[in-house]
Amino acid sequence: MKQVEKNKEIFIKAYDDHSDAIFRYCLFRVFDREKAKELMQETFTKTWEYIIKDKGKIDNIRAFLYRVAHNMCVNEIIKNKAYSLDEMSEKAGFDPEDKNIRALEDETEIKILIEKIQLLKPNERDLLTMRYINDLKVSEIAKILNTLPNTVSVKISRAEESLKKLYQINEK
Amino acid sequence: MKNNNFKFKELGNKIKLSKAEKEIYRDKMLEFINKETFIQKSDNKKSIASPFYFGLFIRRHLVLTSLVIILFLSTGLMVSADHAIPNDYLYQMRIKVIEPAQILLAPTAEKKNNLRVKFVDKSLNDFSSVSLKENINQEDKEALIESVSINIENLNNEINNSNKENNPSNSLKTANDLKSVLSSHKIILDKISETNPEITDAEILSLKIDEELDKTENIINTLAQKIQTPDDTNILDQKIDDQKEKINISLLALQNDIKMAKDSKSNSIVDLKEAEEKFTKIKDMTEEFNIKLEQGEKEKAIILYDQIIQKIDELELFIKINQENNIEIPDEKLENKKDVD
Repeated sequence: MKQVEKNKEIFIKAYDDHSDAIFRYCLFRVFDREKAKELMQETFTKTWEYIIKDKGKIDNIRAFLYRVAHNMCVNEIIKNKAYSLDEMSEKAGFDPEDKNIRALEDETEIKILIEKIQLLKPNERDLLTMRYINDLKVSEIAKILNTLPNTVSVKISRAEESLKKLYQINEK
Repeated sequence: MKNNNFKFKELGNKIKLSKAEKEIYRDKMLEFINKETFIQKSDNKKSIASPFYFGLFIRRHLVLTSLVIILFLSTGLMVSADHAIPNDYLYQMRIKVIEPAQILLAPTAEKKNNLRVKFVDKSLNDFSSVSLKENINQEDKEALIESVSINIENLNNEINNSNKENNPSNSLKTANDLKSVLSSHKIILDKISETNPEITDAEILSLKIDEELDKTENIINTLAQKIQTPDDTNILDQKIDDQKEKINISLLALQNDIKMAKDSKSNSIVDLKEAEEKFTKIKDMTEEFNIKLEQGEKEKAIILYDQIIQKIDELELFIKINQENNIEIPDEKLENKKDVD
């Protein structure tokens, strides 16, 4: 019983610490605020089910959460057809009731950045979201993606290049 | 990019759940975990130790198991149980008695480990094939997952022990075998959960395998580093020769498979272009492997070998699944294209 209580405590702490980051990760995958909230919640639900039903021991809960979130987002994308860019912008139209987001919408540069991110390939978007928006270390991303840190660094550089190119197209 | 980094950070700080949203979702999550924990607690049945006569023996499990096996051999029940699959009434017997007994009676640690890897493979195979046809009953499912977990845990312990006893080459072989089995089954389970989302256990099992793969990969990296010591040079050279041979044989076999798929034309549903691309990638990796060897970077070559074998296994599986099953292979490019469109 003590173990269950301990697991519960760790899990709630993980929820408080990482729910925003997982939400952001999902949002930049599906570009739909409501869907991203659902996916974030489902990610934690599945993780808890894994912990108690299979008595699973998770060494790195952050990495595990990202992996579940990644799977959930991929399933979601497969289920739904791809949105057009206009649809995406409309759906991503972050909650207008939220003061922070209203301020964000006023900042044209950030708006452009969001548009450019939407044009990136999903894998590139994932990497940039994890590295720069959620501030994960390269080694942590490597663990989440089950690959080597060097590979992650190379892929991040490529994603940055793609983003740069998108900006250059805009300037022309 | 520096300017973008700043903008990214700003985005990260600004995009988050509102306080109200966070509270609502947190409450919902707390309600869920309390409910789930309660269900779990009521499901837990405490087993009471039996005051059985054999309890007097120190190695009672060995004596008991041997007796059970002798009994089974005489009736033929063991043979039936050994072929039982989930949902068969003898399945629990296979998982809980026959397989552990076979491991227990294996004469050497190496044979025990081979059996463990074999049973993990068999159990995961059973899960995939049966769950595609029907729901596996809860008891059998739990027994299957527990058996896989125990075998993997024991394998990891044995690998560590063998490593401590200065036998890293054996440990590496076992760890590579386990990784290969887990990687192949992960592909199958991911495919099942994609094509049949109602089989939710496939996803859970796949996540579990993911965790185990991480551990096994760490062990492999540690062992590969340890092997690169002067004392082990001869063993290492022998190992590298074996690896070269294995890669060459596998490449020839794959080339043949692709050729056969090409020749069969109408009946084959293999995506030849993708198979050929994967094959070219493996050949590139093999060239890199040879370059590393020429440059004397044996440690890196061993790690690369592991990746090549994994890719070969994946391609073999890709061709096999496409030819034999109705499961379609995931097309990442298509998914990317869809997203960009």
